[in-house]
Amino acid sequence: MKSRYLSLMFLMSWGFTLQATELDVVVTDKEGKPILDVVVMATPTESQTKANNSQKTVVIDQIDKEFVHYVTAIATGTPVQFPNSDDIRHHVYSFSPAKQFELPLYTGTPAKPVIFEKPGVVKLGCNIHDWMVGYLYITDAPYFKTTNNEGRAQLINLPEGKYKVQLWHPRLAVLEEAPQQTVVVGDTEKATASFQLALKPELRPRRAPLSIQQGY
Amino acid sequence: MRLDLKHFNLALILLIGGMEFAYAEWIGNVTAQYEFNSNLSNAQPTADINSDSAFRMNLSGGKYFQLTDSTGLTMTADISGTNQIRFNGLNNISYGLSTSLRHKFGLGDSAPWVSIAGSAAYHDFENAPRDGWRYNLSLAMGKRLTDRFTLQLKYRYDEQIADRIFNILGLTLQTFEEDEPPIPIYGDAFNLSAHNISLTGIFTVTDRLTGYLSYTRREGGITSTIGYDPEILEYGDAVAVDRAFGNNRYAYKVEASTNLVSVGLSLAITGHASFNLGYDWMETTGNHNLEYNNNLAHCSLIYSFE
Repeated sequence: MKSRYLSLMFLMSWGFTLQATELDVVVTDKEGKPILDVVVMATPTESQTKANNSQKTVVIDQIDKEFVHYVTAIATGTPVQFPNSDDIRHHVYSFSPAKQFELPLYTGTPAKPVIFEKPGVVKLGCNIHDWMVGYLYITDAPYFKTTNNEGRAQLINLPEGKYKVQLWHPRLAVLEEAPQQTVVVGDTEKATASFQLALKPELRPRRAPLSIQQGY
Repeated sequence: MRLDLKHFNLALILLIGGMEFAYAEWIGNVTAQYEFNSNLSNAQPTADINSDSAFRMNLSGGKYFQLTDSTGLTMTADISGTNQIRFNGLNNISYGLSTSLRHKFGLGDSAPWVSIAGSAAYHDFENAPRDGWRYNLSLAMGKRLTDRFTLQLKYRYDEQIADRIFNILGLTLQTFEEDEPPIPIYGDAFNLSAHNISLTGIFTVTDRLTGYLSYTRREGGITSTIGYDPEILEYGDAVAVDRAFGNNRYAYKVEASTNLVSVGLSLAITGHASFNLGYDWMETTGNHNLEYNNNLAHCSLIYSFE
């Protein structure tokens, strides 16, 4: 009886120690405008938390000849499905070292998802519509999310502790080091962090029409 | 050659139109343009140089067929209207068809490509002698060399054929053998054909702003309109009365070489629309010491339904 009581007390104290809290990260540019589609990752600096190896399939759709979403963050080993919601065919491909693959001309949803086994950046393209570009960021970080229209990413259910918070965006200025901060997620309900990033221009083929007069 | 071009375009359109494609995409665009030409009459004598502005509207609609992973076919019907501010005889409506077949060699936005394109359009002018068909046939190739720079090379053959030809009686070639009868100059001054080759560089300035620089060399017939001057007209390969530029005006045709340099900027307003500015400088040197320049400035709004 006494041992059961002590076990219960031990478990309850362990539960208090593992109280999960929230980390709220805001990312803006040098002019203070929020940046959408920044991948925010939090990794504990002290404990060896395992990466999130959820096998739930992630979907990257093709709507109105654009990838939706433009940037998607996934855990290493996640299967990704590429449905085509347009009434025309697309041809999805990637040359990125983290995963080279090709889905030749198709409509609807391919029979099998593509599994991304290595961490890194995968740049997606469509061979028919050159302006179509999307990014997959494959990470081993246990907690990650992409920022919304307000430049905000909320990471929830984080155990207390110190975290290395890192960012990635496809247009990060080349010379800038990977942005990161150390944040303490304590016993308050919400920890916060803010970043200011410099972004380089997006140089993909343009969708808007171009007029080049060469006539006599 | 004239019939071959027209029949080639129509045959291609009928052939493709008769085939069934499981996947075809509707495409179309609308263009509204303003253009200024410093020497619309292509004249050398200062007194005959006429400048003018024009408003033009183009509508194009059709289908895009993805034939294979790397090959696409475009077919459109095109309507255009041009309204000159001063010389209303050059106001015209044109309607026609265009086709283009494009093939990429490889995967990705940096794969080189080639294309063959043709068009046939009937132009209906207020000044009737210019009414007729106009044809284009082009071969082009291009490649995106870096994230910012694309290069294109194009060869184009163009031809225009007037519906009717009105000969001016008594107008003969200036040079002829003394014991031979004078050789009359015929009135097909608006029948032209030319070979054009152009090299174009397209540069991405920002994610919304694109610039281009292009050089074109044209070899072929040109039409220049001047006042009555038999010393000049009698050197023409053809001469016609040209009331589009007023009374007592004559258009004469000669073979010429034209150097054309074009520069422009294009601002993407949305993913479907752009505002474009351009400037063209043309220097033409023709047979029998004909030389003239044109400066063209133009701006346009384009909306694409793709």
